[in-house]
Amino acid sequence: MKSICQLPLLELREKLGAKKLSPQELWAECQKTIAAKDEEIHAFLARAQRLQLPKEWLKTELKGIPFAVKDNLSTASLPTTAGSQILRGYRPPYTATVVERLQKAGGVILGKTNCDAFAFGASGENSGYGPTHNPHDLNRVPGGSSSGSAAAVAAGMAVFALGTDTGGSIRQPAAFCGVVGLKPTYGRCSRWGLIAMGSSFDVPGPLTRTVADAAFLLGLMAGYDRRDATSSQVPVENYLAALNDNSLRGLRVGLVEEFFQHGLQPEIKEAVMRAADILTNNGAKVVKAHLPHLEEALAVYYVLVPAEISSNMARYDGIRFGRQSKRGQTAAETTAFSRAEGFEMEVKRRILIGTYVLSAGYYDAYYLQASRVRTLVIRDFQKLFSKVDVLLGPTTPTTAFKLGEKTADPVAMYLSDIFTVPANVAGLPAISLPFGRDQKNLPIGIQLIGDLFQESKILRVAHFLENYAH
Amino acid sequence: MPSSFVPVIGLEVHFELKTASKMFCSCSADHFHRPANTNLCPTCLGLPGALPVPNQKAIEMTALMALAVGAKINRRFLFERKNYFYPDLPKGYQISQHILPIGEGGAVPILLEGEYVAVALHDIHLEEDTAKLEHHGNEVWIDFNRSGVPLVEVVTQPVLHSAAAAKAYVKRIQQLVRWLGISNADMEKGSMRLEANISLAPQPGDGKKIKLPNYRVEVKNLNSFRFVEKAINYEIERQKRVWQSGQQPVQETRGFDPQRGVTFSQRRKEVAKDYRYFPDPDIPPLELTSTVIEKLKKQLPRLPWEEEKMWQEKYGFDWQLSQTLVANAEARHFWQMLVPRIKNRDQAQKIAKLIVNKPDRWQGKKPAQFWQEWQKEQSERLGGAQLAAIVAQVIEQETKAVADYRRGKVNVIGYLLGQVQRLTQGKADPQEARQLLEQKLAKNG
Repeated sequence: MKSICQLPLLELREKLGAKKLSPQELWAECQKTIAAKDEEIHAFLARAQRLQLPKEWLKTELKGIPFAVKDNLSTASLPTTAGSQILRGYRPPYTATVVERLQKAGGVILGKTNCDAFAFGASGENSGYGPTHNPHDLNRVPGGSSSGSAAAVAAGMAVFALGTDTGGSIRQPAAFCGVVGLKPTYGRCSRWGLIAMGSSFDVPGPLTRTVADAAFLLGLMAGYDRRDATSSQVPVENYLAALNDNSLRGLRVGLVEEFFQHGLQPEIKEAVMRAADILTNNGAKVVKAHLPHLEEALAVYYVLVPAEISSNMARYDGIRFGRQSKRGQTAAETTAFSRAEGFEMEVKRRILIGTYVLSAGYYDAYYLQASRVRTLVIRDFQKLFSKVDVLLGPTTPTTAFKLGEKTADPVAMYLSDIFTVPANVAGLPAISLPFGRDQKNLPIGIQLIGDLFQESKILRVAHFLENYAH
Repeated sequence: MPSSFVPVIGLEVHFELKTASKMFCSCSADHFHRPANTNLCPTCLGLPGALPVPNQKAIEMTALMALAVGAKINRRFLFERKNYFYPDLPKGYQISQHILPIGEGGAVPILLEGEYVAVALHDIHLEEDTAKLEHHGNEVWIDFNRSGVPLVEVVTQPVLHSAAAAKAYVKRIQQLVRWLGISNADMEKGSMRLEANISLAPQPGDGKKIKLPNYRVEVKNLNSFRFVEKAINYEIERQKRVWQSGQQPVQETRGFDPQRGVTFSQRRKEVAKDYRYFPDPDIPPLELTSTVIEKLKKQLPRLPWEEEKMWQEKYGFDWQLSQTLVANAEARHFWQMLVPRIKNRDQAQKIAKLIVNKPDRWQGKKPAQFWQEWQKEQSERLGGAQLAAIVAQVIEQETKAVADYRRGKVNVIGYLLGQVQRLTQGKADPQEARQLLEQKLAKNG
């Protein structure tokens, strides 16, 4: 029998509102599941000790529903390590805006979830605290970097979870774990308190059991934040209400041709084609679309993101917070040893790449050139969205791979982001939803990408397709 | 080796803006004498996940400064990250400006030996101040109260050629930013700080341009006008000796030791530092709208050098008088209150000189009271034929002093003036008396 916390958020919300369920029962159920499963899955890095219900929880939007938070989102109530040893023991004095908004809306934090250190990775194996395992097959990765968040939702340990997406870190693990992952438009949700990876790419978003849950949560999380100069003032829509329109008539769906190359697993291709047929049969017009700079988008990503990382990682100097090496004799040595000891291999790799591409003599050829190509990718999408409403494609080239399978080959690992990265390069909203399984019975994720701030559109289409997922 | 040299000096002047809050967060910008580490937040402490939000007031103050010196305003400007490690820099980068600063170019007019000289600027940019380090034995303590305070840097072209010019320039910058009300520019409190880049170029032939040398020495910690002058003069002499010994001075950073009056090597720069500037992705490109620029233009007061020239033209002041009057905020204020009563150049000059030279005559008084006293004094002044007669009498009586004067001991005129004042019970107009004396002494000589 399914545990209560396997139910969608909106259903639980209704039960709680009708007093058919108490927040205490729900909390206890999550705790029970965590106790039973997390030793194997390792989704959590830190957990809240007890339920702290908001006052008048019954009047709140989330009515005491427990959720998990990726460990690169700052929480004053729990340690925040971003999955890196360099932040071991760090307890922020403040809470990230998106977390705070959900708490104010009556959500309660269950704990902090494991991730690749500083969110650098696509498998969770770069975590400084050991990898998370995929609940569908413990020998496989849950995807990354929001590994623990996806696994926690998939395993019924949390009703929903927060993740962050820089190049696919919400959508890719959502696909691998068979849950819904929404990456909002860049600037739609505040980055205040999000431990930066690629500041011009990062965006927080929800991982949920259903599309409607994601729509509901986006409404609670989104909106301008005066503490984030890149957060948008575009008005927040009622995303949940937008789902009520289930007519696809006149909807133009682009099927990106380039998404069918790059070693796409046949069953995933079939799933995307099945989704395309369903949309066609229900009145949508599915047309071929092209993203000529797909490969360049990945190159742009792996130049610009490390550049931003190299600078974003500079504050980890072992002076004000986190782990400090005892080996240094001088201030400079303390910083050097703290970084040498505290940073994981992938973090060091990206700092080196990023420092290189920003260096005098290389800046123009790498950073500046990549910035220009970024503009080309943005234009590609602008052209596409003058012809179509949403783009349909796979989320990942393959379903979940085995632990250790790609760790020796960083380029193969980077390629697993190829279908998710373009949306980040252009700042677009995108969603991954589960759509059947492959022959190994592993979840398949399909992706919908929308134009800037068109979350309602992709949510609406995803909500429609969800009924045909199995 | 060239036989003679011309100093080539460029200055970097930093001053903290007088905003209410810091550059990128809402902490107070007033950090002086606060208990250590009590004025901070996640942003100015560089905590993970904290973000900068630019202070609009600071941007406008910087633009006002740029307008004042006639710099080109970059309507679209950028904040960039200047990456380097230092314990006083919590994020490992300083948010500053590089390729698109708020102001580019412009010039600051200074007075050198009575002539106005325009000191060409490279740029005017806005950045954040660092934390403060305190050395306690083997330990370094960090106070982050100052971290993130808005800091403007004004960079000159290498166009200054003497310590005196450099000193005049920094004094002018201090005057200007106080004039504009954008900074206290208090060097003792560190709200204004200076660095000088000094090198020696071979003296060019007549009419030829100075060829900039391929090295420069940066001197830091110049926290008073006197030190600027001393350090530059010391550096000019030191570099001259290096050149004369047949070597080229090395490119390096030197500190200044005020006790010994010498500069000392701090860091050799064999390779230029690479700060890996790039646009700060946390701050979108910003824009100064026409509305804001128009507002600032209206806000722009008459500038110090404009006022100096105004008094020179209107009342025939010499440059020293107008410079001193304009530079002294208190005297200038009192003077301005008297201006409406002034009827002619003669009155203006007398009053301006009195205000500048004899503060005890007006300090603590209301302009009306001062004016009354001054007029009374003037009406009792002896002048014209009466004074001429007394002067003649003195010259006749003081034969020895007169003879001394005519032999070249011109200082005795002070004694003769004293005699005139004695005979008139101090009511002689000193200026007129001196003129009369000089005329008569010359005539009969």
